This record gives sequence, C-alpha cells and structure tokens, in this order.
Amino acid sequence: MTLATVPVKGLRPRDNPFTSQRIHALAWRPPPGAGGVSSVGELAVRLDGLGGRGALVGPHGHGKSTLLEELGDHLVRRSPDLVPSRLTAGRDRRPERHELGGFLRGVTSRHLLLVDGFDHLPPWTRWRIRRAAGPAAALVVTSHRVPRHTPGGLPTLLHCTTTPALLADLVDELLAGAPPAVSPPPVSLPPLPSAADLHRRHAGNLRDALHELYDRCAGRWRECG
Amino acid sequence: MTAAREGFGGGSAGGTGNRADLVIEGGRRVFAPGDEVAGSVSWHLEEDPESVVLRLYWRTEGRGTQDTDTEAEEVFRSPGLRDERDFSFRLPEGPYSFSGTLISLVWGLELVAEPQGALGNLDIVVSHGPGEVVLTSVDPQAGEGGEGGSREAADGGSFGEKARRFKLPKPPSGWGDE
Repeated sequence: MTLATVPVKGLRPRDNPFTSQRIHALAWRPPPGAGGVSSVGELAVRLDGLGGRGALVGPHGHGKSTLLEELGDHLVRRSPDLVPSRLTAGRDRRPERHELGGFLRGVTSRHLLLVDGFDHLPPWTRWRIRRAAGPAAALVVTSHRVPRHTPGGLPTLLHCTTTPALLADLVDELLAGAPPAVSPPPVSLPPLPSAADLHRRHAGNLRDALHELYDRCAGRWRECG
Repeated sequence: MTAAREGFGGGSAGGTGNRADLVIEGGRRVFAPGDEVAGSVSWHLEEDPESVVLRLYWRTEGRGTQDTDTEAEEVFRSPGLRDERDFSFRLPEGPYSFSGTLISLVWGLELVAEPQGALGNLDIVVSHGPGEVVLTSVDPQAGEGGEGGSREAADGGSFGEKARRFKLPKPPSGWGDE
C-alpha cells in the first residue's frame, strides 16, 4: 500500500458528483418525450387496472429498480395498512432459502410483494411466488424480459425506457447537487461527453453511463482505441 | 472554551422551521484516533420530538455500494422543542478517514430526531495527519493493499469487513506536518 501526501489525479470520491450514493438518491422520472406514464401515482392507477399484478420490464440500467422502490413507497403511502415485503435477486445473487421462505410464508391480503430481478429466479421459484401471491394485495416485479403471460402470470406494467434527454436531466441534477468546493486538491471537472454520445455508447444504460462520468471525474477513464 | 459554531448540513427533517447547530470544542474538525470529540448540540423544532439522538458514524462514498457503521450514539433524554445538550465521544482507533480513487471513508456526526428525521450532519476527519489519508494508485504487480480493497466495493461487494480491519500504522514523526 502506498501512502502519499500528493493528491490523486482526479476528484476524491467524496467530491465526485457521480457517486453511487448520489445516483441512488435520484428520483425516478419518465423519459421526456417517450410517452407512457407521467408519474408514479399514474403507474399505481395502472397497476390497479391490472388487478395489482405487473412487471416493470427493461434492460439493465433503465430505472426498473428505482421505479419499483418508489412505486412500493407510493402504494404504502396511499394505503398505510399495506405490509411491503421485498425480495432481490441478481445475476450473482440468489435469495437464501430462509429469505425466500420468509417471503413466501403467510401472505395475506395486506401484503405488497415486490421482487427485484424476477427473471434471475429459477422457473420453479417464480411459479412459487406467483402461487403464494394469490391473496396478496399486489405483486410487482422487475424483469429484463416480459414474464411469460400464462394464466396467473404477470402482465407488463411498464416498459422502462431511457432517452438522451433523460440522461442530460440526471447529469444536470447531479452536477447541481455536487459539493461546491473541491479542496484539496483543487481539481475541476474534466470535459464531459454529450448526453447523446454517452447514451448511444452505453445503449441507454444510464447506470453505466453515469459510472463512466464517475471514472472520468476520478481520473481513471481511458479512451478505448 | 474556544468554540466554533458549525452549520449542520444535509438534514432532511420534515418541516421548514426545524433547525440544529453543533459546536465542537476548540472548533476542531480533524481528530486523531482515540481523541475525544466533545461539544454541544442545539435544536429548534416545530413539533415535540419523541427522541433525539446524536450519532458518531462512518460511511463510504464512491463508485460502489455504500457501507456505513455507527460507532457510538448519545441519546438525549426527554428532549424539548428547543433544547441544547452536551455530548462527548471517544474516537476508536480506526478506520482512518481516507480517499482513494474508488471510495472515500468519511466520519460524521449526525443528529436524528423522531419523527422529524435527520436534522443535520457534520463531517469530521479521523487521521494522524493534517487531513484524511490519500491513497494513490498501486502497481497491480504489487499484489495487495491499496485500491484492491475498494475494488470489491466497486463491484458491489461489502466493504464493511475490510474497513473494520483497516488499521494503518502510525506514520513517522513529521509526516504531514506541513
């Protein structure tokens, strides 16, 4: 390990406008000009129309998890009797047996079931969740692809999309909320690529696009080629 | 007592009229591990709080998942609408405040009221030097240490255990005296 009093070449992580914590704190918003729902409240009404069952569908980094969290909070504010219950699965993370057991056990009409990463679960587990969710007030999941629409399956609540304009909005908000002074070391922000360029290179994945901006500000970005 | 009134920042307490201030003895912001952090905190709330707590904690900030740990807390008994209380914490031996490329470890004092929520936060530095420890890039061939620890956090893993074990040796005398 090297200790030194010389400053690093870029911003310190705590001064970086694009830390995971700041990105995570951004509120979901509909992509400008993309149509569809205009608020989380409107999405909740759409969920009601689907009988309280639905999937938020979209590729990585398109705001599904953020929206799931905010929709869950909204539904609980709207109906304070609801009991939210969350389950998270990922490419490298399968829920533990006891975690899944606790999620499936004793579901009542007051339960709001939220599953992030539904398509990462094995088919048998997805079937168990749909079955256990029978009496639940609502079941909302995120998925990279449309869950098979079988009897008892899950209709698509929203296709999550992103646009360069949305990315530009988020970057503006992050830069506006950044720490005012970067001292020491006195390092200013590097030139940042345009939202259109970033959005195109990351195929609409906002998380990866914002991570690139973190790396640029941290002085650890290397242009390819 | 030399005192500096510090503005609390980052509070999100409900109600626009909620205010809080913190005074650290000597106006210090940089402390050595094992030092005492003492002072007083005052608040002015719109509604009677059920509880008010001052927490000494650290958090990570950067590219990866955030980790945080509360080291000590002072629970103020029978808090009033307007109140002022003294506090005193003994800092642990680590982890140090530091910044690398992927993460910073930041110490803070956070005042939280219920049901209002966070009233404010004040960051402090825990280090033997004049400021936080700055980690430079390491040679990947070197094999261990440095940013290797933070890479785990950047990849979504937990940094907590590493941070708890993260104890730097005392620097030689004169280090960071500038």
